[in-house]
Amino acid sequence: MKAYIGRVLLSKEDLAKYPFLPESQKYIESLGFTLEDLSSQPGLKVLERAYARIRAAIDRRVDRRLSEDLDIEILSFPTSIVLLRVLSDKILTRRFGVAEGKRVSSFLLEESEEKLAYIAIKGFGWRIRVFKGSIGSRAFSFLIRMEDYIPLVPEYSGLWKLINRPLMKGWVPVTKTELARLSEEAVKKYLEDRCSAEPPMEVPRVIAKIIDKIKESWSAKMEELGLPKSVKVEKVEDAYPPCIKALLEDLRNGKNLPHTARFALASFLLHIGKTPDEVIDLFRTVPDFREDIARYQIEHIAGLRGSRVKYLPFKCDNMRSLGLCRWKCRGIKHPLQFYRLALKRGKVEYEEI
Amino acid sequence: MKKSSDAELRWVKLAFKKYYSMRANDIHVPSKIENREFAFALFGGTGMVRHIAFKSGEELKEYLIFNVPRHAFHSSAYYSYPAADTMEDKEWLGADLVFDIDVDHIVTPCKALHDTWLCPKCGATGKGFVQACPKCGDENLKRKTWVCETCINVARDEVIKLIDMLLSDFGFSDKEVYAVFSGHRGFHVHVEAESVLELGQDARREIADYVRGLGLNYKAFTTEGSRANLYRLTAKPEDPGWHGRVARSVMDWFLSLDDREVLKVTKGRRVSVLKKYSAIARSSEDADWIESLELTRREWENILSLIAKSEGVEIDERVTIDIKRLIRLPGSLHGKTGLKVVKLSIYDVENSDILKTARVFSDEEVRVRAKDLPAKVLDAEFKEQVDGVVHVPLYLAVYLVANGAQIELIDRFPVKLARV
Repeated sequence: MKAYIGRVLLSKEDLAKYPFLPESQKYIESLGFTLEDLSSQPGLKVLERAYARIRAAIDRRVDRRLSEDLDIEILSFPTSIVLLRVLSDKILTRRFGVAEGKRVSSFLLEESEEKLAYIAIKGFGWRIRVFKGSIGSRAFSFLIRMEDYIPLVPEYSGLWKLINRPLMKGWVPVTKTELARLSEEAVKKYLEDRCSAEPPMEVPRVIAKIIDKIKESWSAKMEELGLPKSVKVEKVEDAYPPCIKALLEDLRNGKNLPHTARFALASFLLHIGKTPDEVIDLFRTVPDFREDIARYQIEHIAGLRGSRVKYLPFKCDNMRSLGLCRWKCRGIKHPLQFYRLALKRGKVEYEEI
Repeated sequence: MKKSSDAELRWVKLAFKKYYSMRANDIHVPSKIENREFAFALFGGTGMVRHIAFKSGEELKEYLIFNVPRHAFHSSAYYSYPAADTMEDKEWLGADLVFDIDVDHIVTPCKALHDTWLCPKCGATGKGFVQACPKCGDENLKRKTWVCETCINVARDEVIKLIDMLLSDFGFSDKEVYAVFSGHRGFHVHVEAESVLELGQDARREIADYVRGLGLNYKAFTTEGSRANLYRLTAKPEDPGWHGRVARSVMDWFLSLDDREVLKVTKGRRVSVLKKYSAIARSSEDADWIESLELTRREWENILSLIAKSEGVEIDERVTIDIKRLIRLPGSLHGKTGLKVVKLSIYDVENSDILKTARVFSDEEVRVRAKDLPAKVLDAEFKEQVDGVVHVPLYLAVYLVANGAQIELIDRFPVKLARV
């Protein structure tokens, strides 16, 4: 195989599998399909398929189906995006991105390496080279530019972490599976960008009806996903992530916490529903406590003063950088995520690093 | 005697004025100047004058000559409207990748000679660097820090390590990377390349972690060995990136085995096994022995964290992650030292006498009345406790006044610039 990827011929089925490609966009344009066309056949079929795709996302299914009529399949993609624009629901959009991303990567894994690379280059504007070689404990298939790689890695730890890649003059070696996984993230991002654009001013009645249908099943799902009525953890405090528990313990032991630690703790507690007064009371034990200063700062974090922004606690990466975290919590990127998950599942696995 | 008085500071400002008027061409005009924000701290002022923009290098130089700032900064970021008051209105377009290496964060042997601290809470004082007051544990210490040749050399070694990584691992060209001596106790390394411009904070943190050696995972460098819980090194000395760095360091580590480190790595359990490997390493003529090296997961993790410490670069990661950082303008003077902020090509870093290049004021002697001078500062040493009249070169007098030493000028004649 050559180091540089040449042109690959795409079938109509490919356009349906990878509707974000410029070739697919061009094809869609050539069909001259408009929003009004959705009100009659074959437009109704397109709408139905778009609904099914979003429905799959709501149920967290990966819908690998391809409609018999490939034009319908292809057109259902931009139609889904229009529906999501009208809905303008961030969580649902993200869910849709995840489902569509997984669909794309599952198709990509069945492709030849050359075709996979071609699709990633054309679809996402990445720079990729074919590279066959083993370095360290692993065999790689491609090189991708670090500026394309870093923003899309699923996690900044373990083997995905840049430092664990044999970085070659700015090129990062990856396996075929990893390139497909990165593509999954890229599709997610592509959809988040597309779906956040302004919705059309007016939509046909059929669309409004479908929108209602989606809203209905989505809110039913939301309810199902929402916090359970009974909290399995013994006390609410048991659901705090280990970093917050440690800070709380330090505080109760009268230790003098640095400013960043105080911020992390206060913003976390305010976010899970504690009142500023409750938080202030906790801080009474710090050696340099002054009620007026503490009140000012905590009310500021709570968004009651100044910019009126309620500050979010630091995410895990930042906690680690600040030296406030020495744990690894499974699948957790943010202390608040730990808390919610712990309440839901009764526990979250973590280990000390 | 009190700290340098206003009269002394005015004399320093005159010195700065002379420099900016006579040597305006030493100012390095940042690339795409019209998209950068500038900020200045003025003599006698508190806080910073921010949100200033210039259309050209000439405009910038005029500003410096006219206003004679004590400190001058420009943004590492590019904006559509750099003079706008809020970040939102500025419209961020991208930012250079910047690294900060500062001896404040590095252990050096010279700090005990010139740094002092005072705990405002309990009144304790001491020399050198401590994280917190050893008496009462308070972290808000008042510090007085000075720079000497040793500081510069320690920081310079880190810069060299960093530049090597930027060139060989990241593939930046020697035209895209340059270093800047900060005029105080450290260096900045700038990368001006298309590929880094739009990187977000998370991506920059990942690059900072790479440079610092953070997050090395044994799985990337080893594979399962002949028995359970033994792992064989698969990284080779000639491999790119940290793979090569790890393999070379492991070899070196076994060649010069340090008993204390061995104890730490094995927790005292397999000392003899590691010593056996060390003997093999020393009697081998090539690197092939390394393929037989098998260690436990714990041992690999411990060795990797030693390697991270020795091979990683000590940067202040906050500077790298911040995409709206203000950074010192090369060619301007540092208001605490009177030394020039010097732009250095990657070749200059190794080959120039940095303190000498940074000195802009002449070395003619002036008399000052001084108390409690640091034992080592720039290239000067004060062996005995100084209390009285001393002769110091003029550039040092500027530094002593600017950094708030307890001195009084006896000769206050007009400042001369050093010959170029």
